[in-house]
Amino acid sequence: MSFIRGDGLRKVYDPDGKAVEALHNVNFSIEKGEFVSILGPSGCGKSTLLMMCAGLEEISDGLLMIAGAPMTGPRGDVGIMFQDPTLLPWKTVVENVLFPARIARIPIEPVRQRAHALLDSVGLQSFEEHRPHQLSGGMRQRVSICRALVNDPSILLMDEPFSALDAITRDQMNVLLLDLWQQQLARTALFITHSIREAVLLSDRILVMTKRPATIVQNVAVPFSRPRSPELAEGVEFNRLCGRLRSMIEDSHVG
Amino acid sequence: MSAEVSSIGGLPASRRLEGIMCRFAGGATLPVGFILISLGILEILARTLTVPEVLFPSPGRVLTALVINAPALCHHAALTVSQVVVALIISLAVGVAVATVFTLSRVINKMFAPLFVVLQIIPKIALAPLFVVWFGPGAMSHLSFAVCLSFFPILAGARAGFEETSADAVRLCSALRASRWQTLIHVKLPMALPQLFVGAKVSTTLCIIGVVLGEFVSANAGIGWYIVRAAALSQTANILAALVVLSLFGLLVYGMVAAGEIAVRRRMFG
Amino acid sequence: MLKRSSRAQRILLPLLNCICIVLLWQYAVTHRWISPLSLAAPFDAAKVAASSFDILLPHILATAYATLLTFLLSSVCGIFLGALLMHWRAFRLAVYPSLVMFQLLPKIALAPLFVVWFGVNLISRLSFAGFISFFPIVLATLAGLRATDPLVLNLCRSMRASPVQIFWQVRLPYAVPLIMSGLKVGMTLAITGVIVSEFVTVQSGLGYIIVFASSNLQIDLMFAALGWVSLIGLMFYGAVLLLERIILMRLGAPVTGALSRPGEAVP
Repeated sequence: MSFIRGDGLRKVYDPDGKAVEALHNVNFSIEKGEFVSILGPSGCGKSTLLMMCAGLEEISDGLLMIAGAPMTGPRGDVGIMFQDPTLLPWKTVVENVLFPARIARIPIEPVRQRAHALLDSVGLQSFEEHRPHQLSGGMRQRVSICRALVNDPSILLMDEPFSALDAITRDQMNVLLLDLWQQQLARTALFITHSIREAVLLSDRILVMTKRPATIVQNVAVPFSRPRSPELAEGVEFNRLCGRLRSMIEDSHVG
Repeated sequence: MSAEVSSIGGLPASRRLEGIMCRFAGGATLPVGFILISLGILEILARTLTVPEVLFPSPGRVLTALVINAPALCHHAALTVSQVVVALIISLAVGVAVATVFTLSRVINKMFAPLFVVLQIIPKIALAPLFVVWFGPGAMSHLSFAVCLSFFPILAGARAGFEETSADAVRLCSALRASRWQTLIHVKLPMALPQLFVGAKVSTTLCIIGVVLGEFVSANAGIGWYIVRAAALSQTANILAALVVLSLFGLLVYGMVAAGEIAVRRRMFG
Repeated sequence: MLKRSSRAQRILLPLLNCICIVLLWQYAVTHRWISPLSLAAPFDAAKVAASSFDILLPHILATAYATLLTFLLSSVCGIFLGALLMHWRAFRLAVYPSLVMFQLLPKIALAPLFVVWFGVNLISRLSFAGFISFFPIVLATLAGLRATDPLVLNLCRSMRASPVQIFWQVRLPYAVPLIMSGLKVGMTLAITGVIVSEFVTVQSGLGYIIVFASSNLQIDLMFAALGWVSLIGLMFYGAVLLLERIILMRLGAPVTGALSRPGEAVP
């Protein structure tokens, strides 16, 4: 039984008369508890698909079902992360993490416990009263992860969250996300990236997307068992899979 | 070439002295010196040339006028500046309120925003006599005219601030299903504060212009009235003295707004 | 979910709104909801504007002419002085703080002083208006010329470009946006200065007509004159916007929205 399901999804933009088809006949199915990456070149519409799942983009055609119900607008049980940490500069770290709870107007105290625990698990326990400008880029994205998880969402949507970080920090964040996700199971994740290695390390399945008008051309299962460790990325099988994906992407480029 | 060679391995004494002087004065010597020297030259010119005092009062005479008329000047300046402060507060309230309405209702925004853009260009200064027709020669007409002039930069600042909120922050709020009001209060308003202060600083200047001009057109008190009366009596030194006092009070108000901006910036953004 | 508004909707809505306001205004005054001594009905004001056009014309021309002349003088002097300050370091260090100080002064308070100095004539109006519109142009020009990207300057120096070449080829084009914003402020201050000085000299021009009409409670005439002032203001400001667009297009730079920056407010 799929948890997130897209059938024939289409997205057409119409900037002053000229119709631009961003997504064309996108079909996919994600099971509950799966970590799925969408891999593809820049500007191909991966973010648009994610925004649809978040309820932030109108669907031009086709059907998007989440937990058996058609998508109509933003849901309360989705955690979202953007490329930019989007922290509010005047709030402290812990206040930023609590932001979704304040918007949802639920009692704060139980959520506060959760926030402290999350910040602990990402190693920011001594930075709770700091302001975003006092943190590095990697630290800010860690706060962003905590904010996305604070309301205990059933779906985690991530739009290239680590693309703006330097390579070393990015690797560290991958390990962090891997750990976090593997501890808190039964959470479904949709992860956008254009890094093949990142996708293979983190995901159960990888969907390869073409350029505009984008469609999903490949659905590749990642055969490595969980829990995974970062050393996996140095193995032969891992790199072979990366190579396969690379040629798939190049082929879909030409075609 | 040889000069450069001799300076290698230790600056020549004159350069070192210059460096010390510059650091000591913090870069203020040159401009302050320029002002003092200019004032001095003006003083000398005024005494030696036979230019009538009506045209060209020496700085000394302006200072004398300032001291002699200090009580009257302060009284009138305080009157004017109190109107300026009230006008500024009203402008802030109205400007932010209108900008909020524009942000919360897209329809109203589309209907009225272009009108405000056009109103912003029109030389509203020409409306001063109209406000006197409406409200008579008292403080009410000056206040309302000043508000009319000065609420536009605040409106523009608030709108610019609301619109400049990063798209990602707005998307985050949408994803969290925040209402428009929640998005405004929690995100857009705090983010708009820097732009709002830019508008408020422009607005302060316009409030001063508005009140003073209102007093030019019709009044029985205030620094603008004082200047018009001094001009009618050809008391040029008094006019300049009045300007000095007005400027000091004006700088005070402007300084308070700027200080407020720094305080808010520090508290909110660190 | 976001909806897209068509271009037509964006123009029609405010236009319809405007027409409704004008009609409501006309109705309100005609039916005495608002006294005709407070607000002139728009159609009546237009009638007066038309019927007394031959009386108003010399004053319209006087104001327009004074504004144009002021703007040309202060922009030429302002840009020239700005360039001079850029290149002559000692002069800049000495004079710049005074300029900023003068900019902050409420110079409008000096209008009567110019009358004392120059009398009730065109010279006093031109000099006052020029005085207040000149400072923002100088400061904007200076800011623009100093805003050149230091990396580009390094490139020029590595190519051993002369200061004159750097000025014309690099600094000036980079400075155009800031200079144009200074010119916009300068234009609005030119109009403001001319009208204020016409209030004070009460001799000729639309400012004089407005004061004259207000003292005789000829509200229709006053609104007719206000209408003409608005028209002149819009025309001249529009001309500066057009100039900006032309220059920016020739330089191949992106053209941004015309207004709604707080610093460009018009008094």
